[in-house]
Amino acid sequence: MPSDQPWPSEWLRGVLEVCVLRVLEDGTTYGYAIASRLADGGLGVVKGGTLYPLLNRLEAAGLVEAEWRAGDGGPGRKYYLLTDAGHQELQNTADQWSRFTRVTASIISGGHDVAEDKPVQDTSGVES
Amino acid sequence: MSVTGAGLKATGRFAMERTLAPHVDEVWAQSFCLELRLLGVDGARIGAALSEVESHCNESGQSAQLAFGTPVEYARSLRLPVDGDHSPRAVLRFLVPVSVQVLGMFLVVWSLVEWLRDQRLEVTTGHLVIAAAFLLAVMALVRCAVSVHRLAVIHRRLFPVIAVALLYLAGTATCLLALRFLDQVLWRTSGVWGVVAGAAEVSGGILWAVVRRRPPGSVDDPITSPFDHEMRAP
Repeated sequence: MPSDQPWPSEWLRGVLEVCVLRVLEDGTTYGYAIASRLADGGLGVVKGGTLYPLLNRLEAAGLVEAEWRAGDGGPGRKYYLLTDAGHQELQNTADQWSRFTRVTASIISGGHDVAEDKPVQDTSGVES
Repeated sequence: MSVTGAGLKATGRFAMERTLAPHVDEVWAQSFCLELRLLGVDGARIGAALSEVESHCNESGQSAQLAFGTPVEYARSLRLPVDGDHSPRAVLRFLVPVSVQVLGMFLVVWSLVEWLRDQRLEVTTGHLVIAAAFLLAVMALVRCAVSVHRLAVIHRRLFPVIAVALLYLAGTATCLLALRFLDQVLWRTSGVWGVVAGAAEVSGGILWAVVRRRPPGSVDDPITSPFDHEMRAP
């Protein structure tokens, strides 16, 4: 496994969105700064080819807004800001991830009492 | 920082790439912009996407190839909104009214000759097949517009020669075979009616082209810096 990528890419694909939303919750920031925060947090190097399409999808979904700002002597940057819908999405997804990680940790460690962390089943439309 | 066609001519190849993204490999940047163009993305969005690559490469010190992978795959992965008016298909769609005019022109010339010779015009199965083949070829060209554009850009020297040669051979073969073997007369009429019908077809094609004409300025879609856009915004 390459040293700059400590986690399997399939895992990162699932968790990257909530991590990016969480970074943006701390304030308006730009792509490279988000990638640096994720790397410093231990997620490994998130390449631009992965990060920016995700940011585009979040922008298209209305979860973030973006604006260009001129750089100080350097090129301009596109800053991303979490919208109200983005905050809501972060809250929901973060809760789900927390439950999911508790469940998987319990299963992996051989524990059995995971019933309370099971996802809520959608029973609408099911005949009783 | 608008980079127009005139600007490109003034400073040569890769002028736009060097202006908008000086820290990005110019060949990578050109391929990236080309792919987005072929997808039908408008110039302002292409400029913004390239500027974001520039910003990332400048700050990370990474090459575009390392940070973003191949330009074509990255361009596609962005899934940027497509502007229908600037897609290759929309551009080629303007061939259809022109094709109708060309067919009308051929009909006028052919009918006029018969009329002046005081002979009746004979429409055969072969004539209909030739007209249908011509229209089908134009429609196929429009349908495969993106692939045709890509080939034309990548093989800009060979493509025109091969395409013209193939079209010429295919057209000639279709005409010869259709006229030789499909000579069943379907309709006989005076040459004057052919002239009238051909003139009506030419006029209809012109009218069609006028109706579908783009508003002034919509054809010119330069790749611009996002800061141009920001400055223009109210």
